[in-house]
Amino acid sequence: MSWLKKGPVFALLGGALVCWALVFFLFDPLLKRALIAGGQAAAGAKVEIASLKTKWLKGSLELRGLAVADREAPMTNLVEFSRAAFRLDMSAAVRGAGVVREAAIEGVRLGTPRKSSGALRNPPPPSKLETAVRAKISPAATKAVEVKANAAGEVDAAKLQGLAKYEEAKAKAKEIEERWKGKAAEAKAIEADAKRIADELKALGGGGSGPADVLKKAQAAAKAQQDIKALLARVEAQKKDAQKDLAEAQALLREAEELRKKDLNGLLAAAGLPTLDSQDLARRLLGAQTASRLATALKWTRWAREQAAAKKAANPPPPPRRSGVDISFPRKHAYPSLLLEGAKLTGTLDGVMGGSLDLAGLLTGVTSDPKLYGKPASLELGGKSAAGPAARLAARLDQQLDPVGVTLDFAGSGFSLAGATLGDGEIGGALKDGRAAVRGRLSSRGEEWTGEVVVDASGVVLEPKVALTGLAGTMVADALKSLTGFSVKIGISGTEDDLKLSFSSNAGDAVAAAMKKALAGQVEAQKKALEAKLAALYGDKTKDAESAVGGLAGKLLGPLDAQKAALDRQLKDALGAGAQPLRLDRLFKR
Amino acid sequence: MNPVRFLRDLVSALHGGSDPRHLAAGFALGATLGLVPKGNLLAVLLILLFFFFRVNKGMALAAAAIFTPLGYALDGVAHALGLALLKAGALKGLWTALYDLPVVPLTRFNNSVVLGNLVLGLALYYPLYLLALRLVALYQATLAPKVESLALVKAVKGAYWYRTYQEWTS
Repeated sequence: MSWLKKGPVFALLGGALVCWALVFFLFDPLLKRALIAGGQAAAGAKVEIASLKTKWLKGSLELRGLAVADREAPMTNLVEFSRAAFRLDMSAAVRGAGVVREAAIEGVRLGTPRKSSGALRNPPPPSKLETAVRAKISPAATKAVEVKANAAGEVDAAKLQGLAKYEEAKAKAKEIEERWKGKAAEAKAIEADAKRIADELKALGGGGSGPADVLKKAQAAAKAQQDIKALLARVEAQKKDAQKDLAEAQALLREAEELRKKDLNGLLAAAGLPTLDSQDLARRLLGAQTASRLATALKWTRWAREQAAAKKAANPPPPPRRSGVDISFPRKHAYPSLLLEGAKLTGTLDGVMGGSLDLAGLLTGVTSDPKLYGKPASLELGGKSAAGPAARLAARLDQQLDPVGVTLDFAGSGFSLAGATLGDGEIGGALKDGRAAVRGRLSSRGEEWTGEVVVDASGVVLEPKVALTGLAGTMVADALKSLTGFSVKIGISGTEDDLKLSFSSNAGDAVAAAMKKALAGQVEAQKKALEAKLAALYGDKTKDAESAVGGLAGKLLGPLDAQKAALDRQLKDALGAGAQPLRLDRLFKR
Repeated sequence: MNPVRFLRDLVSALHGGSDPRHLAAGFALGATLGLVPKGNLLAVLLILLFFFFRVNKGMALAAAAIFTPLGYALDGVAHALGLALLKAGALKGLWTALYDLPVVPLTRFNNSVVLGNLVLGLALYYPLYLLALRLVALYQATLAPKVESLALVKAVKGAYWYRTYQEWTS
């Protein structure tokens, strides 16, 4: 063995040992950190992994205690599972492909409470999609449920916009009147010209009756007609200006009237007079919860679609090296660099709508190279419990298509509503009992979204929590208490930039009816009191402005109309004078 | 991996300090490495051979430095040779089996230039070995005494730093 040097062989073995030690001690922590970082980027909230263990020779990866916090509710986990185990195909691994033949995810739980906040220090901003969903389903942030007894006493005249506008209209009318006084010279000039023309026309009546005279008269009459028409045009121009000014003043008056109504509505809202619209109330009761869940569902659907689309785009051909040509040969096993062939999901879903579901499902076809894999990824998940609830979820990611599509079909029934809350801090309550059934379909292909979600609740027992006081509070609480069922229907369509969401529910009807019944009297009384207060404040100012603007019409248009009528008469006379029949016998003497 | 030491070993070997066969083997192996494109598992394996076998590493590195640009020049020939071999019907079964083996595709043997240069290097190995052996013998017989007697060489060998370095590395 003189041709072989022992030193380098031992050095190589030593190096290999050091590499193994580094992998043994550092690979698992590094992989754990990478998974946490990737998960946090996707979820927008904290991701925790209690332990991660890999076994290289067996090709196994085991995660324990994985928890993904809910971005919207940092003190709860979106999903948590006790154990996830993956078994890699080692023959594919030595060819550089991560193929997971078997996987098991156990102890899945949703919405579990956390001991510490799951919010990230710098969470990513909400996406356009989430913002659109919240804007279209969540209720408006109004706090109007309490009717104040002294609402009318709190009116501040300085803040009334209508009052200021009436002042403006009055001032404008005065300004227009003053301006038109300056135009009196023009009116007098027109008058003088009209008088001159009238005199000329009168003069036409006398004089000779010979042909030359007749011709002269006809010419003079034609000129007078032209002059009168010019004067009429001047009067018309004046009238047009006057009408423009008048319209301006009248517009101000109308604006002031609108603002007066707005002032009244504003005062009603500020006085705490509540909305009595049933759909508004339904949104108030169910909108926030619905928007939150729908936004989460849409977000993850889009995430799956984007991941698949990104993987499809990120497979450029390898560049040629030193002008060689790579010849490919058929492989018995051609794998994508990552493929989760099948993952069995088992476990108990605790705390889902008050019950526990025994889950069983299969996740297939998750891959880094959808083109090579050529099949859709799918998730089939079913859950049932002895107590009644059952659920089914079928998700399909058409990763091999272009554009990538995601379809989500789900149905569930028998979910207990006990323990859930409805509404906000002002109108709502805690559900003590009730069962819910959910069914729906969400679909996203490229940028296009379609879908419908229907929730039916029955056997509802609600413990009302109402901030309204007095009779209204009692009646609304009674109405909520009498609520035994409701349904919510949400329709989704359009693109992310123009997302159309329809929300309809009968949940608000009973509450709206109760509020109308209870508050109609109080609202009317408050309204009347405010209207009286406003009328007193507006009082003379409204009348002054109205009379100032109304008077303008007579002052401006009156003289102009009279002038126009006089000129019209003059023109008629002139036409008569010009149209006198010609005596041909006088024109052509025999 | 001290290149100065490799150079000193090369000079020392050329001047009778080593077996000429080690020098010749180093030259032939270095030539093969120089011809093969780098950045694949094959080049790594060839480098590892330097350390496992009793070849003169200085000579191997020098040969690799000379034959690398020559490899670029011979790419056309190597490509034609590699492509012919990869497309040869009789060899298809072999290539397919190798391609489906773990790790082996990392050598990029399925690249026409890589395979062509490897075959060229292997084909030239023994002729280059024999050529190098003769050249070393010729050098040692004719040129080495003349180089030894050069004033510059004598001055370097007599220098304090050179003696210190020799003592330190020996």
